[in-house]
Parts: sequence; C-alpha cells; structure tokens
Amino acid sequence: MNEPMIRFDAVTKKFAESAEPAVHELSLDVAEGEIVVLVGPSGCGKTTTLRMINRLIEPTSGKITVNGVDISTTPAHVLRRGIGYVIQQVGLFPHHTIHQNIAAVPDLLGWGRDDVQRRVTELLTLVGLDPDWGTRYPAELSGGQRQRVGVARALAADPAVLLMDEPFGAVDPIVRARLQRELLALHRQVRKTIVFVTHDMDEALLLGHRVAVFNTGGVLEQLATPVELLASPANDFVASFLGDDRALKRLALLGIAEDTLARGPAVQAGEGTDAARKVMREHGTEWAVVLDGERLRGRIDLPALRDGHPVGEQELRPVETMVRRDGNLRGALDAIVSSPDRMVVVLGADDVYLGMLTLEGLTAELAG
Amino acid sequence: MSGQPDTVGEQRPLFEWDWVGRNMDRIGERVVEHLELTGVAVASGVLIALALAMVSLRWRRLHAVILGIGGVLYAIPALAAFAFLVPIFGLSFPTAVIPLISYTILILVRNIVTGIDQVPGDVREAARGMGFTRARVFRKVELPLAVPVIVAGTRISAVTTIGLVTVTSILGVGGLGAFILQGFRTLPIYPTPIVVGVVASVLLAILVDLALLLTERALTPWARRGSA
Repeated sequence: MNEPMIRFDAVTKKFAESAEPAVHELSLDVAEGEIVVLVGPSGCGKTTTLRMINRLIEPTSGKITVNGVDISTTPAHVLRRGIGYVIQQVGLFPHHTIHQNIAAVPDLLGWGRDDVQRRVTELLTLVGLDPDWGTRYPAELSGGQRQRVGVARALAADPAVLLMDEPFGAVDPIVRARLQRELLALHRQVRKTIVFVTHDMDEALLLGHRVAVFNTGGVLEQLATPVELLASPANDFVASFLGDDRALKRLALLGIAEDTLARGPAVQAGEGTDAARKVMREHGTEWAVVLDGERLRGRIDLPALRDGHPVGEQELRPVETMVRRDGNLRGALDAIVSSPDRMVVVLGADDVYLGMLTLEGLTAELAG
Repeated sequence: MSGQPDTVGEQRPLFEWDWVGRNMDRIGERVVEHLELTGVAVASGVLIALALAMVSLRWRRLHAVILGIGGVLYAIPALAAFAFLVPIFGLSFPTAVIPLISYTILILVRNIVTGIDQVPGDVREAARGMGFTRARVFRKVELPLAVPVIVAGTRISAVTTIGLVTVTSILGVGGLGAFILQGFRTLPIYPTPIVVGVVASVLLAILVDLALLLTERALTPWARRGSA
C-alpha cells in the first residue's frame, strides 16, 4: 500500500576480481518498520547487498531507493548520516568516550550541546546502560556492552533505517540471546526499518518479519515470513539451509491457541473430594488441578485425598509442568513429552488457568 | 700562582665549579639556541613527514620511494652535508637546520604511516558508514589513533637531533656544542666547558624525551584506561 522504505530494483553487483556476480538481478522491497533478515552462506552477497544501501559499495547496475529517493543522487556521506549502521566488530572509536561515540553523527549534523547530551542520556537508557557511563572509554566495557553502545550510536540521529551486519556474531551465545531479545524489544519501541545480515538461520527466524535466503552467486532464493519459509521452502537449497529440524523450528514460531485447549482434570477449591474423584476418573488421571475461581492454586493427588474436607483445605502440591499462554508450541511439546500424562497446564496472565494442552490438541493446531 | 687555570703548559683540572658559576648566563643562552635548532628541525620534520605520509597513504607505490629517499638522506654524514650547503647558505642557520630536518624524515614518515595503518579496519569502516568524509576520517580518527606511534618516532628524532645539534656548532650557530669546541680550541685543552657541553646536551635529551612522553600521555587519555 505505502511506498516501501527500501527498494532494490534489478540490482547487480560485479566485482572486477570475480567472474560470478556478488549480487544478481536483485529486486526486493522492505516496508517501513519491517525487519528483513538477509541470510545465506558466506559469499552469497548478503553483506554486499547491505553495504549497497549506504553506498559503501556501488551497484554495477540497477537502482536502489530509500524512502522513494534514488540513493545515487545523494552524496554518499550525506546519505550515510541518515542511515544507522552497526557492524560485527562494532568499530567504536577507542579514543573517544562513550558519550563522544554516541554523539558522532549528531555532531556531524551540527546539533547543539544540550540536545546531544539529552539524546545520549536517552539512548544509554534505551539500550540498558547506565547514563553515567558516558565518560568511560570503549576499552572499559565488555563485548556485549560495546555492542549496545554500537546500537545506541547507530540510533543517535534517529535514522529511519538501521543496517546491521552480523552485529551479534562476536559475542558469546548467552549475551547474543540477550541482545537479540533486546533488539526485538527496542524495535517495538522505536519501529525502525531494519535490514539485518546473518549467516545464522535461527537468528534470522527469530528476528525477521521476513527472511531473505541468498545462495552463492548473489541469487535470492526465497523471501518469506519465517513460518511460511519453514512450512514451504521454495527449493532444496532453502530446505537444507533451514536444517533437518524444520518442523521443530516451526513449532517454536507458533503460539498456543486457546481453542485447542482441553478443560482437563480441574476442581474448584471449595468442592469436596467426591467431585475431585469424579474429574480424575473422567480424565483417567490420578491427580487434578485445584482452582480458586480462575486462578491455579496447585494440584491434588488421588492418594492424598482426605474425605470430609474441601479440596482447597487439603495438602496441595505445586504444578510442575506448565507453560505460559505467550510461550510457543515447541516449549509446550517439550513439556507434554516430559509429563507422565502427556498433558500440560497452560496459564495466562496472573496465573489464570486456561486449560490443558494435549498431544492431540497440539496436532490439531498444526493441522489447522 | 699554582692552581690558576690559565697557566700555559699546565694540566687543567677535569671540572671547575666556579667556571659554571661565572658562565651561567652563557649556558642559558646556549641551551636556548640548542632547543631552537632542535625545535625548528623536529617541528619542520613532523610537518614535512606528515605531508609525505599522506602522499604515501594515498599512492602506496610512492611510499617505498619516499622511504628510499629518506634512507639515503639519513645516510649522508652531517659534515658532508654542511660542506655541500655552506657554499649556498654560508655559515648560517639554514645550513645547520636543513640536514637536521632531513635526518628526521625517514623515522617520522615510517612511523606516521605505520601508526595510521594499524588503525583497526572496523573503526575506519564505522566512521565511513556514519558519514565521515575521507578528510574527517583522517583528522578525527586515523591521526588521533596514530598519536602513540607518531610520538614514539618524534621522541627518537628529537633525541637524535639534540645529539646532532652539538655537531652543528662548528658552523658557528651556537648550541651546547660551542662549549665543546671552546674547550678543544683552548690550549691546553680546557675540560670544564667540554664536560658542561656534553652533560647539558645529554640532560636536555632526557628532559625533551620526558616532555614528549608526558605530551603523549596527555593526548591519549584513552590508551591507559580499561583493557582489564
């Protein structure tokens, strides 16, 4: 409907030293506010594609527009000041403080001192760093902290577009997972258009609204949402790049649908032991969950039932296997498989009991 | 009148403190002259080397040529250089300072180029990607990051030059070497001015080296933080 934020129109890049093009006849639109991840093996042209957007590399033929403007008509250094750029090694200026690093582009644009100070404080907070750290030098920060400063620096002048070239490739897996979550949270706040390059398919599926799978020779094999990609890869190359556990990866992207949940063996805290025995019998279990209205109190086991008292006053045990409504089907499947009765409690916000997910329910959701 | 230093044919003592007391003003003047020659030579050397380094960085093939010429200049003995320049400039400041400058070029060009080459590629890439022009990358990123290596070269040049300025005194342009000449030209040889000239120029070299080291520290507060 709207003009895309970034448009590649039949763009080809050939490097003098190689016969095969680095990028071949690429046409691609990126919508405003969208995260598109370019993924593929090394030498597939994904980084070349990214670097053509800020003219660090000039295309051999074809046209690229950003916000409707042909980028070849804007001087490269002016164009770049309006596009955030984050690279794997971060490239912070070691001789500048964190404040000066973040202020780099605002300084180029001639912002006033107070505006810059306000913006730096705001950004340090946004990326989860202490605003007092502005006076430190990059060498005093950990790898993950430096990467956050890199993101803050790229966002400094509030660019509409953010280019990220394997930004989390050099940090350890735990920090990477945190930075990925933070990037998604950040995107919910600032709604930038992001083009993200990675060779890690899992990262692509996690972060991308759409994922562009490149093959060697700069060929775009498929551009689709992660769920579409996993459900129907366009060809063998895409399928093999997605990996053998495609179905499991797809489960990880699907949420839990409430209409597939069963009521399960559940009794109210005020009910008696007869009622509890009845639901256990009906569901073929030796336990039931105990509810206070909507909320989960715990579980009661058949041998622990003592007649003459409401179940709520009896010895309850905590529910061991449960998943949250906002979890994904992969986590749910794991919980189902590890529970003896092949069912798992699903909880909503404030511990509200939503029901039980069974293997049958999960299969039904996958089919529907 | 035994012990009088001007007695002909008598050995003079190695060092006389009262000579130093009597000549305090002249020592001061000579030190200033020495520093002037060194300062002009090294400062000009840095400026010329900076220009040559920029040429070397832009056109890589010229780098080897420039270093080659610098090496040849470095190998010319000072006395030969003076002999060549005296017919042109006479016994003058330029005759003294031109060889001094030429001796700094090799070390300085090499260090500036090395210093800028070792700026990490990702830092340069980030600067370009943010919209720094080429000139701004050089001024704001490459040059400041090369400061430790450039200052290291400048320290070597300055110390070397201070030693060489002692030789330029034969041109009559002053400096601490004049005391050494004075000591040798007196009969019998007068050791005190020689000792003063030598000790003062060594002290000067140490102090200038220290001053440059402190300058480097002041210019690179970032280099000593973190990396823990």
